[in-house]
Amino acid sequence: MTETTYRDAIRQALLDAMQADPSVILIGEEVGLYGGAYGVTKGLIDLFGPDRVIDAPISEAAIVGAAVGAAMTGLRPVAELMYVDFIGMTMDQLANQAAKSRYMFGGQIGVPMVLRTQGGTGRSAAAQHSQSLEAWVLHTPGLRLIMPATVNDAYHLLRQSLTQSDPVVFIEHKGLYTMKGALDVDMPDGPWGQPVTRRKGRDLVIISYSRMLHESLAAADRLAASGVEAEVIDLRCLNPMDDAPLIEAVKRTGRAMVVTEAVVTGSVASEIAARLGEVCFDWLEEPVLRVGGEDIPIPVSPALERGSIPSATLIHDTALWLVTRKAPTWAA
Amino acid sequence: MGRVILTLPRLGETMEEAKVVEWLVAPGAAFKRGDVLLEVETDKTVVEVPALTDGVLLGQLVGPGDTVALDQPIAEIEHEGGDVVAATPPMPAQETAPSATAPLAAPVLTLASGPRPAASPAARAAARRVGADLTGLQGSGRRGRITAADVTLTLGGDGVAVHRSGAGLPVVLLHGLFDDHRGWRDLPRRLVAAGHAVLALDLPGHGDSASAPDLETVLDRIAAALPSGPLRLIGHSLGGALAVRLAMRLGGRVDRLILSAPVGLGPRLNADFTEGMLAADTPAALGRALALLGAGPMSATALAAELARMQALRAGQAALAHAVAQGGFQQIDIAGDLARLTCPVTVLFGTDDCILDWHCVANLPAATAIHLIRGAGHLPHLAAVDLLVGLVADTRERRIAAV
Amino acid sequence: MTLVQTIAAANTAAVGRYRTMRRIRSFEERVGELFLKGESAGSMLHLSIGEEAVVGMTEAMQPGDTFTTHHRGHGVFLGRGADPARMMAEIAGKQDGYCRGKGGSMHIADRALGHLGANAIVGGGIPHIVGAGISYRNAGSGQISVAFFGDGAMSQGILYESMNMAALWRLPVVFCCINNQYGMGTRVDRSAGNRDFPARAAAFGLKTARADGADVEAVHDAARALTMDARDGRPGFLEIDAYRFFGHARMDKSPYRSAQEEAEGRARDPLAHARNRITAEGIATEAELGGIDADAGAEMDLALTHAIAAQPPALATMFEDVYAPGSPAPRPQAARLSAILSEGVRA
Repeated sequence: MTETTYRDAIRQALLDAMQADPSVILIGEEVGLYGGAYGVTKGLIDLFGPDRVIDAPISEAAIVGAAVGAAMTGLRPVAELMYVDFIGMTMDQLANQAAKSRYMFGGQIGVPMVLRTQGGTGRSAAAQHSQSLEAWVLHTPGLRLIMPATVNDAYHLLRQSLTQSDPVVFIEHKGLYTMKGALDVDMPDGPWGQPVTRRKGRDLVIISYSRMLHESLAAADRLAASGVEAEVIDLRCLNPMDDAPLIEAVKRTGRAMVVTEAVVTGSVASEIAARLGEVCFDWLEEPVLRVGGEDIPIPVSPALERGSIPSATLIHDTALWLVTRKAPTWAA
Repeated sequence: MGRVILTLPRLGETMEEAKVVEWLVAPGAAFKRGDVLLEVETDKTVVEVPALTDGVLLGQLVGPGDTVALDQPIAEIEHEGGDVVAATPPMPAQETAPSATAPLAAPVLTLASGPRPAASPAARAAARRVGADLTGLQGSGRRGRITAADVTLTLGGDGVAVHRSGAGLPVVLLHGLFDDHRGWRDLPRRLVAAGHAVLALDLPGHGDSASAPDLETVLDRIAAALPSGPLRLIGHSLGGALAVRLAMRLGGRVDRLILSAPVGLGPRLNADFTEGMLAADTPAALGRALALLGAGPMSATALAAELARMQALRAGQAALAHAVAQGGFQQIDIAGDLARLTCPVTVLFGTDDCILDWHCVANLPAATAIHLIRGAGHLPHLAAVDLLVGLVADTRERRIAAV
Repeated sequence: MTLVQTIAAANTAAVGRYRTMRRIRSFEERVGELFLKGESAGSMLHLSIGEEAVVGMTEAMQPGDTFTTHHRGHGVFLGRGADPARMMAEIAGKQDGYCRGKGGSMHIADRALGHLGANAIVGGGIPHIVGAGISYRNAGSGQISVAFFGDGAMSQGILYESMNMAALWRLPVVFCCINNQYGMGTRVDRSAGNRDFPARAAAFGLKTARADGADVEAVHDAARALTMDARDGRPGFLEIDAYRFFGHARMDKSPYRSAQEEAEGRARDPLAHARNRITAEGIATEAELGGIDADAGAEMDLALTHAIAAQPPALATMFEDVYAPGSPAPRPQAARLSAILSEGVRA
C-alpha cells in the first residue's frame, strides 16, 4: 500500500502493463518527450523507447485509426487523446471501426485497444477543452467505458482495461490528477464491471462516478450532520455495468439521485435514472433525480463554469430536499 | 368521490387576499356541505369559508397567519357527490355582510388529476400487497402524496409489520399460523370501502415481521404495534386465540371481537396440517398440507413461491406451532378468557373444517354469537366476506351483551 | 500617384505595420501579466510573441474580408483592428469581452470585424473559409476569407480536404500557416515527414508562397499577391516561417528545446528586424519608434486595467446564446429540480 496521486497511479499502471506485456504500446500527441499534456506518461519513453512510446502528429483521427489497426494485428495499443473534446475528430475510427469490427466481421477481428483521455471542468479551459462526453461513448455498442474516481481504481481499472478483448474508452478527470490516495497494487476496489459502495446509508442512494463521486461524498458528510444517511455508489465501469447493486440499494431506500458532471440531457445519469425507474418502480417513494451539468456549453468565465456544474452544496441541498422536504434557498 | 384542490374564493368585492385565522376542520376529518372549513380575515372583516359539498379534508395547504391570494390553493379535499363547480354556494354567514349586488363566488374547485390519489409507486405497490384502496388515505409525503409508510406502518419497535390502509375506526387483522397479512385477500379492501381503517399485521415470525420465541413475546410485540384508542379485532385460527388474549390485555379499548375458526376451544388439532406444513420440502408436499385448509387448489408456481417463503421462516414458525399444539393436542385454552370479556364476540366456523372440529363451539360462553358456514373449511371468513364486513360494523350484539 | 507619393505611402505603411506589431507584443506581454495577477480565465493562454509578422497578411486583407484563427490568434485579431480592451476583458472572462465571457482566449470572435472565430480544436476553423468562399463567390462580393493556423494543423486531414475543395471550386480564400516550428512540445521535424508545406498545397493546385516570419514586409509582399489572386478565384497558401518565443501555453517552460535554439529563434525577431530597417532607411527615427512603443505600452496598460476592473458576467447569462434570440433558453437545473421537489399543488 502506497500513497500516490491519481496521475502517478495511471503512470504506474502503464509502466507495469508495458513491463508485463511487450505488446502494449502508447501512441498519442506529446506522450513521449513532453511526457503527456498532464504529465501522465512522463519518463516512459526513456524506459521503453520511441517504438513503444510513439509521439504522434496532431492527427487524432489517424492516431485512433492506427491504434485500431495495431490492435487488429497483435499489439495492445493505448491511444491517448489529450482532451476528450477531441473525440469528435476520432468518432468514425472509434464508433464505426473500433466498436463494430468484431461484430461486422462475424467475430473474426477484435480490437483490444484502450483509448485513454481526460475530460471535465475546473480549469476555465472553455467550451472545447472542458466537456464530459462519456454519453457519446455509452451510446455505442461495442465500446467499453471506464471512469475511475479513486487512485486505486485509476491503477487497477487501467490494468484491467489492458486485459480486455474489446476497445475500452478510459476517461480520466483533469481535476483529479493531483489527488492523493492509497494505491494497493494487489487489491482492486472491486471487480471489473461492478460499482462500489463508497458509503453506506439508509435514506437515499447517490450514484455517481469520476470527480462527482468526491462531491457526492462531501455532500453525504454534510447530510449526515443533518441526520440524513446517504448511500454513495461509485459506478466506475459505465459499460459493462452491473446495475444489480444500484437496484438493491434503491429498493432498500426508495430514493435515488444520479450525479454527473456532464450536461444532464441525454447523460449517463439519464440512462441510470431510466433503468432505476423501470426496475425499481414499485420501490420508489420519489422520482429518481438527475443532478448534472446545465444544458449549455462550458463557459470560460470561472464563476459561470463553476455555476454550470454540480457542487457538493447543490448535491447536499437537493438530497436534503428529497429526503426531509426542506427546501433550499435556491428553490424556485 | 374525487380529490380536489380548494382555492380561496372571493369573499368580498374588493378582496384580493386574505389571512388565515383558524381552521375549524382538522386534516382527515369529514365535513358536511355548509360546514365552516376555516376562517379568514379579509381587508374588511373575518369571514367564514364554508364547504360546498360533503367531503373529507385531506390536507390544509395554508396555516393560521398565512396570507393567501385570491384563487390560491388552501386545502386538498375529497368530496362526495356530483358536479362540484355547479354546486350552489351557501348563503354567507351574517357577519360577512356582502353587498346584495355582489353574490359570493363559489370556492373554485379544480380536479387534481381525476379521482386517482397522489401516491408514490412504492405506496401503490404496498397497497396492492395489502389489497388496500388508497382512496381516503391521508398522505404524509410531498404535496400530500401517499407514501409506502402511510400504507405500511411499522408502528412497534419490535419488527411487527403493520399494513395499514383506509381511514376511520381501526380494525386489526391477526392471521393464523403459517399465513401472513396477504391471507386476508380482499377483506382489507372491503373493510376500507366500508369506512374502516385496516391494520393487517404480520404475526412475529410471519411475512415481514421478525420472529419471536414464544406466544407471550408475540403478544407483547403485537400490543406494542397497535395504535392507541378503540379497536376492533378480527383473528383467524391462532390469530383468533391471540385476539382474545389481546382483548384481555387491552380491556375496554376493544369494542368488537370476531374470531374465525379460532384455536383454543377444543382438545384436538389436526397434526397432519402443522407437521405437514413444517416438513414440506416440495411444492407437492406443501400443496397436500395446504389442501387441509380447504382454500381450493394452487398452481405449481404459486406453491413453489410459497414453499420458498415458508422455508425462510420455518425455524421461527416451528416454535409457535409447538406452542399451539403438540402431538395433535392443543396447548391453548381461550374459553376461560372469553367468559371474562365484556365486548361483543362473534365466532365463525366452517362445517367442513379439517383442522379444527367445529363442534368445539359448544365450549363458548352463551353470549357469544356463532355463525356456522356450511361447507366452508378452515377459512370460513373467506367464504363469508360479506357477512364478516357486516359483522364488523354491527353493534347489535353489544346491546345484547349489555343486557 | 507619383513615385514619391508611392514611396511615402509605403513608408507610412511600414511604420504602421511596426506599430501594429508592437501593439501585439505589448498586448501579449500584458496577457502574461493578467495571468500572473490571477485575473485571467484559466491558464490556457497561447501567446503569439515572435509571430507578429502575421501583420503582413492581416494588412493585405480588405475591410469586409473574413477570417478564422487557431488558438494562438490574439495577434491576428489585433492586426484586423480588434479593441485590445475588449479582447483583454474576454481573456479575463468578463461580461464586456468580445464574447461576453463565454469564449475566452481560445474562442474570441467578432462578426463586425470579420472574425469568424478562434478555435481550440486544431484545424477546426479551416473548413469554414471554404464555406465563406462559396458565399462570396456566389454573391460576387469580391470578399475573401483567410484561415490562420499553425504548423500543428498541417497534420490534420481536414486541411487537405479543405484545400482540395478550394482549388476545385476556385474559391476566394487563402490558407495562412503560421509555422512557429512547434505544435505544443513537438518540433515540426518530429511531426512532418516532408517539411515543404507549400509543396503540399501546390499539389492541390493552390498558388503558394513561403515568407520569412522575421520580415513583415516580405510577408506583406507575398500576402498581397496571394490575396489579389484569391479575389480572382485563385486560392492560395502562405507559410510564414516564424519562431514561437515562449512555451506552448503560459505555464509551459519548454524543457523540450535547448537554450541555444531559443536564443537563435528569438534572434529572428520581426520587431527588431522592422525597427532596424525603418531606421536604416530613414523612414523614422529611433525616437519616433520609441514614442510608438510607449504609446502601445500605455494603450495595453489601459486594456489590462480595464479587464481587471470589468464586471464578470451574471450567473444567469450562462443560459443565453445557447440558441438564437427568441428561442427558449435551456431550463436551469434549479428550476427543473424545484418543479419536482417543491411542495404545493400538483399540476
